[in-house]
Amino acid sequence: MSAFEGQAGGWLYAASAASVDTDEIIASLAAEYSTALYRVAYSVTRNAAEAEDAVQETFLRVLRHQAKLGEIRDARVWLVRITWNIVLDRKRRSKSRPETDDLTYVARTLAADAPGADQELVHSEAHARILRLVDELPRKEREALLLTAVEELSTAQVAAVLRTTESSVRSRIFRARKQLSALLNREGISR
Amino acid sequence: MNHHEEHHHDRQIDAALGLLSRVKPDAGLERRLRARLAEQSRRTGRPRLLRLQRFGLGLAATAAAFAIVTGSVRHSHELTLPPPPVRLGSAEAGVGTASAARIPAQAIPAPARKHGRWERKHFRGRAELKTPPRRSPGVEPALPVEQP
Repeated sequence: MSAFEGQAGGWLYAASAASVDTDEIIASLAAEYSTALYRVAYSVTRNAAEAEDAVQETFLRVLRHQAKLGEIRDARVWLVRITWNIVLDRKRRSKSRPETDDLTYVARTLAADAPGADQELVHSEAHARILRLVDELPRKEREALLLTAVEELSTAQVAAVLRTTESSVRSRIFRARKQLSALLNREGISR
Repeated sequence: MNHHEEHHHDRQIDAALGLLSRVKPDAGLERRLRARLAEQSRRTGRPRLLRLQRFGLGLAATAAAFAIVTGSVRHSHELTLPPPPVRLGSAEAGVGTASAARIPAQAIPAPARKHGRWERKHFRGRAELKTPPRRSPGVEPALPVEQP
């Protein structure tokens, strides 16, 4: 084997080894954050298939930009931001709410698992209607409210995803709840 | 809206948002995710290998071209020069390049006749050319008659 062939072999080995490491890192990220990302995506899409597709697209983007993995400080914020941008972009393109809204189905499924299932089932439709009212809120207030609904995210992380401050997130949530309460009052939704 | 209504609405909002926080993906999301990532990795892995191979080939071609040029230059420096050509008149002799005598590579044989084919003669201040008389082939020139 010539010196050149030996050098080229070394490069190929290094590239393949790096690829294996990156694949393992991405796989571990998927194992840790896929559920949280699914919830983030679902809060916007309200559709199981679209939410899962958004999560898969998130990790495909991570795979494409794997060179940046070493620069990431908070993987959770980074991944949520990617998912968030994907779902918002898709929603903007569709220009309308998805026709296949799975929320009622999810509400029934969750209610059936909970204690006092019959009573919960009665109100699942009301929850779905409230979440549809959330979509009528102004963009900033709506985004803050939906992201804080994901339990895995702290206020600081929501602020990082939205590229704003924690105090701004709190004030947005306050305004969002106030406006939503007014909308509920107008709609007359009650238990 | 009184305080009781506000509190009631807050509970409703919390319950609805709690629905989002309890949503679970279909079973096997992680497995599907891994499968798709592995497929994508295979797709992107091949071009990466090809790019490396092409880079290696390009590097080898560049090295070969460099070796050819370097060898050619070195070879040209090692060539022995041929002996200098015949020196013509030097500048000190007052003979310029344009008027220098041209020495032919081979000796030019002298003409068989003493004069050129055409003879230049002056007649009444004008030059005229006289060509030797043409004779038909086979006709010998007249011989002088011998006197007894």
